[in-house]
Amino acid sequence: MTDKHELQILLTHWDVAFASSLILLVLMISWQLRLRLTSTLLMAAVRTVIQLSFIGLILAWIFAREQWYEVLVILTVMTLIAASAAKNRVKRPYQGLLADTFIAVSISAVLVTVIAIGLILQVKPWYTPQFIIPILGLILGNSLIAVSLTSNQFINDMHEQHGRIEMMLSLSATPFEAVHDSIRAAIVNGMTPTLNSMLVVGIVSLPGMMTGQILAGADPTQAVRYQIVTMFLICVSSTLGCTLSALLIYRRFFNREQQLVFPN
Amino acid sequence: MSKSPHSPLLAFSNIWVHGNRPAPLIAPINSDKRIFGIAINRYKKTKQPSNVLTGAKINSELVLIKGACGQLLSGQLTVLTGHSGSGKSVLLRVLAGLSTHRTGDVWLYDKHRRLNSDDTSAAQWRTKVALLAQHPQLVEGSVLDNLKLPYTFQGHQHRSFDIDWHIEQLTLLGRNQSLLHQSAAHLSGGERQLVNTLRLLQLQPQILLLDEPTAALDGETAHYLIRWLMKWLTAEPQRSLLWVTHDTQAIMPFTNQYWDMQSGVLSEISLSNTSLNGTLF
Repeated sequence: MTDKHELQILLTHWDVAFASSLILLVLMISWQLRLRLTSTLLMAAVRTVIQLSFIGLILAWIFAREQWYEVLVILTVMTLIAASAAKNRVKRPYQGLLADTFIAVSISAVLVTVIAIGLILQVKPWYTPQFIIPILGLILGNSLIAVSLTSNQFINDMHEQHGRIEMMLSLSATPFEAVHDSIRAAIVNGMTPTLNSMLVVGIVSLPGMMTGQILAGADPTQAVRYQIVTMFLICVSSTLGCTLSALLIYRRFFNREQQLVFPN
Repeated sequence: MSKSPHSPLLAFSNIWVHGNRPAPLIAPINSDKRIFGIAINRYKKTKQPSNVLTGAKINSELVLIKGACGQLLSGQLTVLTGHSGSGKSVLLRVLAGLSTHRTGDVWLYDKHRRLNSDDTSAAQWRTKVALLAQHPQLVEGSVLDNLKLPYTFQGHQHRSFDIDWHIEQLTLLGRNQSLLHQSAAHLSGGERQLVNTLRLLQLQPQILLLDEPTAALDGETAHYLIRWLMKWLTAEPQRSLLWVTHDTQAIMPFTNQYWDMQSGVLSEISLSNTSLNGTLF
């Protein structure tokens, strides 16, 4: 136990300040080579500090929550923000798209979070903020990317491929048969980032979460196990989110008479 | 009751179609605007320039078809002309059961029964009333893959693909059967239209709605297609053909009924040189 504590290196403000001064080196290079990056670099550095300090304060405040309903409110707000972020990435939205992305993101993320907290980590009580908030955050972040990619591609396809879809309808295809290729392509598109990261994880990249855990003194085998669990959770939630959003969007584009309609 | 040689197969009355409401396109404007390094995307609702489906200007008040009535008789060719955007394609889409925002009735006469399109399942209706779109839509793969496409659908699973029929038709069309194994991506405009037509006709619809099928064809191919479709029409008694075209000359000799559409109003033009079977207006 004592060994483990020695491994953990606590960062002081001075350590951070020293790291910041390294930015000066970059600024000098930029100035010398006239890269015209000076203002952008400064802005990026300042934003990094401000944003992370701010989120640190928020997390400290959140982690002090001890009531389940307080945690639940935070979780709901996180899910809403994720759903609206997913919706905003869609180039041709329609009224009700937010509801569709919210359903897709929330069902997929909440279901997987429940499995993670209740069955895998067995956190007690379930609303312990240190566990449920980062896990939901991680899953939401990936789910929203998957859902937004799927939604965007699928909606675009419905608009651009209406000729092909109506051709299939004319050949007595059901609406689902007519859009099956588009749905498949959209789900594949949404899953690509997740699948790619699963394929190269540990070879090309060490995930930030695992690196962070190891730097913070955790046992690498434990960090690896955490990472494997996380990857699978992300994979399941992305798949669920993509499929749900594709099905919800599909419903919007056909009416009862099996005609192609374009929602406003 | 003695059966008239030309019984109605499809009838429609009082068809009104209102223009679709515009689907607002949300386009980012001032996308380079940056505040604290964050790209600010301001979204603005813009009107879609044109409705690709109806070919008409988008306006929720726009009436695309104004109270159209008509009948398609068995064994007859009906020709429909009209300016671009007059609503011809919209009418075809209504009859094919693809158009939304319509009022009025469409009936199909099927073995002494009269089916209203509103009471018939879309899949059932579309197996009987087939629409051949103006721009042939082919899927990736060979011509054969395209011809087999309908049999992958649930609605046609009880049927089986008949390659001999296709070879026979290709011969009638003056084409070599090697066409079947060509990639759909490498077909000429005329060949695409032939594949499109074969794919539809193998399903043996009763009513065939053609939206300018010869527009992209050279004279000879168009001639073959017209002859071939006329042959199809008369091969079985319970078939009817509605043909939208700008070039009436080539098909006028075969025409039994002549309709014209002007800004959504359908009217019949009498054929002085042909005997007319029933005026319907």
